[in-house]
Amino acid sequence: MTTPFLQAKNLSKSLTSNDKPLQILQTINLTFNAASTNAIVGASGSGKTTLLGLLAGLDLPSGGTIFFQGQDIGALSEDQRASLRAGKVSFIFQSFQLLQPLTAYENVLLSLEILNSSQAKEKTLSILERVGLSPRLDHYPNQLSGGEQQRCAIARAFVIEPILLFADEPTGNLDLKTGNTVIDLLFELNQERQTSLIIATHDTDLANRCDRIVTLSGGEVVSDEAVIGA
Amino acid sequence: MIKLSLIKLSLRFLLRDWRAGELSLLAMALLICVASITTVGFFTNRVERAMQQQSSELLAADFVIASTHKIDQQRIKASRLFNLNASYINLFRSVVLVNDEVQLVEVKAIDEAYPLRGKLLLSDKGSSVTTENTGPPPSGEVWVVPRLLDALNISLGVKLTLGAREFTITKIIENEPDRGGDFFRMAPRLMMNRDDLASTHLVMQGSRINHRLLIAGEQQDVDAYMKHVKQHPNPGEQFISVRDGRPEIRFAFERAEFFLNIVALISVLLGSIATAMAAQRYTRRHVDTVAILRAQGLSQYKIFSIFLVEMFSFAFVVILLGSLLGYLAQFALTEIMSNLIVADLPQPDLSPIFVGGMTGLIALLGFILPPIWLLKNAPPIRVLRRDEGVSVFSKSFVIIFIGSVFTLWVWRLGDSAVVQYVLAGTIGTLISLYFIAKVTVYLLTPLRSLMGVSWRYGLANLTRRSHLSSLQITAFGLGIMFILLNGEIRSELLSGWRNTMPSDTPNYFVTNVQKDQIAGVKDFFIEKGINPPVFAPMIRGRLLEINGNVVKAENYEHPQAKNLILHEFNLSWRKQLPEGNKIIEGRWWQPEEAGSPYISLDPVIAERFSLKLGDKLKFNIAGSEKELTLLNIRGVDWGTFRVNFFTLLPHGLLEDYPANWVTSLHLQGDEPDHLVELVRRYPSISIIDIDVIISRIRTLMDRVAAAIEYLLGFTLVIGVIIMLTALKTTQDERQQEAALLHTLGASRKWILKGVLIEFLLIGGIAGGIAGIAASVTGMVLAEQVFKFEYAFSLIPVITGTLSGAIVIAFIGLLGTNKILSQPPIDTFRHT
Repeated sequence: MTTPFLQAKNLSKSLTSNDKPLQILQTINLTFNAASTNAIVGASGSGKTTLLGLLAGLDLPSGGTIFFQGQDIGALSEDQRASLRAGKVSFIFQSFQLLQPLTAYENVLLSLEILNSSQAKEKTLSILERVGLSPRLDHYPNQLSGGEQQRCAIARAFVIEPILLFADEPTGNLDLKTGNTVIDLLFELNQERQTSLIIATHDTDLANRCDRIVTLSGGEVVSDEAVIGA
Repeated sequence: MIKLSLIKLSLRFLLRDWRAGELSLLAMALLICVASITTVGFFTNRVERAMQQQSSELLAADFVIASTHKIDQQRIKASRLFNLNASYINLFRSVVLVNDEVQLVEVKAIDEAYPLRGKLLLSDKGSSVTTENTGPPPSGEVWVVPRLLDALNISLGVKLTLGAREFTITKIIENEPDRGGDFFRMAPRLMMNRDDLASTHLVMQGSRINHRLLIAGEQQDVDAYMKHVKQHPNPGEQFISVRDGRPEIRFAFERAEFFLNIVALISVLLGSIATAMAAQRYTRRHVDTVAILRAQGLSQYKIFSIFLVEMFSFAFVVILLGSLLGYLAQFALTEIMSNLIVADLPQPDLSPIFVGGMTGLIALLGFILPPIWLLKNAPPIRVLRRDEGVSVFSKSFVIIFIGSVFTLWVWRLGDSAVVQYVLAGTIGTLISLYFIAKVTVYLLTPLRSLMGVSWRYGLANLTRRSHLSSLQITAFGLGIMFILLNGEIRSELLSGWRNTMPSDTPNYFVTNVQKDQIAGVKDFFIEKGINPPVFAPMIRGRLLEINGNVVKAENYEHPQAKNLILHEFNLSWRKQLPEGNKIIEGRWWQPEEAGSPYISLDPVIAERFSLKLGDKLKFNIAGSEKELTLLNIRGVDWGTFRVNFFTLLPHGLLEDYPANWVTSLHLQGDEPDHLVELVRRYPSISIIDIDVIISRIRTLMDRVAAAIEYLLGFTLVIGVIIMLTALKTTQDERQQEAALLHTLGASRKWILKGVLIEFLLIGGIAGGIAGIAASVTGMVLAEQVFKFEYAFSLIPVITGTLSGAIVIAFIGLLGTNKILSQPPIDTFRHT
């Protein structure tokens, strides 16, 4: 029996709001395979982002366990989880989350600098060319359009050649046409690099491009289906 | 151990943060902290180097034997045996007569060998060429400093009368090596040939003339000679070596350094607040960055290391720049204080940079690193959930802040009670100002509903951000308060103190009167229709022992005590307790106790020497030793300008000793003109015009005040930095508001008017509070220190309010203009 790539067992998460407990997720059991594309869909407030944060090790569950490559990430300290993420896990966010004081080039380069990666400059230039941002290397995020910022974020995410990429509503702040362009790019790169993709979205077209759709409602998995013809 | 790769990353972060303007406010705050300390540091370094380098020049010799009596000729013979050069000089105060004017001068009678070290530079007026000179003026000639020519409105070639003889002024003294700074130049210098001294008839028994034998030569010969004379001291001799320096100069320097450092540290205290505010703003703006870095896999240790290296590198550059700024700023300070303590200051060495470095390091550790330490805790989940944050402030920061400030103060000033009081007083003043500012802002809130729309907007800005507004008011208020105290209030206190004196307060001292001249001088005054004054005797005595223990200057800390031991006491005697004196402890002597070996002391002197009633003091008075018992401690009112003495003895003890007589009197109208004739009749008499002395002291104090005001400029700069920090903190908010108002139809002019009102209020309140505080402080000082009533004055309040409002409104508008000029669409797009 092979070790699951990423697995959530009896996962739950609750928060305290106005001194009252709020159950965000309950009894989530999911397994993700390597090199797969997965969509987590659901209405606003269904717990998609919370589930993403837990699976990525950015937050700790209230109950249950998460295994990443066989390791219980809940048993690790914050720094150990960070170490686990370094070089293996990447993110793309709805609000892009580019560092404003850095240019497009520097935002992407930073990911490699953190890993002390060799040939960082060459890799950065290459990925930025791949995403079509070569003419905008020296531009700051506030000088880029939304689509360009998200392309820069995609370049930042893929430049470290992750094995797992989390995307939280990657087209949430983009118009339809720009969003489609960005999604095409995302899946092209994913195909090239065979990264596992987990996308939280309420965009059904985006979800249908994945191998699998997990539907959340009220903090629970209500369906988990393979996409036919994906 | 931090890896090289992390260091490189840190430096890249530093460059990027700098480029983005994220570090500019922090840099400015830290820069001012370092610059204010190093400005004083470089100046005092120059003075200290001058005192070290000029130590021989400050004596004009390698070794000096000083006495109030003629120095034994054997000393001069001995110097030749030791292969040394010797020069004998005399110093005394007298008056010169020129064109019916009397002027007090400090006379130095020199011989052929003077000076043995340093340069005596002379010039002809109008010539920029100075010549180095050794030896005295030719007989019949004198050399003077420019100040004497200016005071009497005369030029070279004019004749003056000194004592019984007439002299011609032939040269100007440009540099006198052993003169010291302006603090030590109460009266202008006049140099004469020592051979002419006898012909002036100024040297009489009881005359107050100082004798000095200057010695110079090879170091080992000087040391041998010093050892020889110290083994065989003559009574009344004082030995001064280069190592001893000039204690009065060192004391003046240490006092100046202390007070200048206090002023600089007040700026640093405010600068610390500005640094802490800027550091808080910097860390809050990097919370998202840290969250992203943690999401990308960077550990907290590495994140803290990155910021630690970044901050240390940043601080290193700022410290160097701050030290450079301090070096440049000290030129102005040197110009203001030039020649006050010593002349010809050399360039400083680099040691003040260490002072700047330590200041920067303490600021870094105390104000910048604590929030950075908390910053590393920014949760990575923040990249997905913006409501997850981290506090970059902890209550422990307040303790760290106070501890760091205290460390800075104690390191620079020591931990004496004075330092603690000043620090506590300054912090107390800051807290009080902040509290008053907060209350004032709160009280303004209800006025919003009564005002027009621009005023309402301005007031709303002020009251809504009451904490930031109060901080700005406090910072500016402190700076303006000190400036008002140092300037306007100080002047008024001095004038007020002078004006409250009774109209018949003495305004002239007449000194150097011999016993056989008293009757004649009294008759002279009667002849001129002036009430004859009462004369008091004055005789010098050297303190030898206290309670059988030999008294040595090095055993006493206070310079006044050292001075009295080295330079003798002025003793006098009285039958009755003098007017204006009051017995504090003990009793006054009875008439039948005339001739008893008692002594009465001023309480300050008793305290300096740790004396109590019944202690025995042995004096050498004109070669004869007398042991006296302390019978009473007597309070003296020194502010009356009557002749008073620290030490008094009973009548019948010293009458047979050669004494000098002195009196003070009040002259009005054209009565002072008679003094010229008095000096003509009695050439040995000296006249001291008290108003001239007070004026001279005021001139010197004005220069010190100017130096303090210059340094206080740093506090105003800090106030501006605090204001800019507050503006930057609220920048996004202001931009949003302005964009919204624009969209709703408000003109830019209308918005600017509201902003103008906000800053006018901040500045006006700051200046008003400062004016009130300064005036109240003036009242307290007048009552407690100067002992007169000083009414609360509205002038500082008006001055402070107007100047504060105008200056701060101007700076505030400059700072916000760019923010308010951005088109609304750009603001909304980037929200």
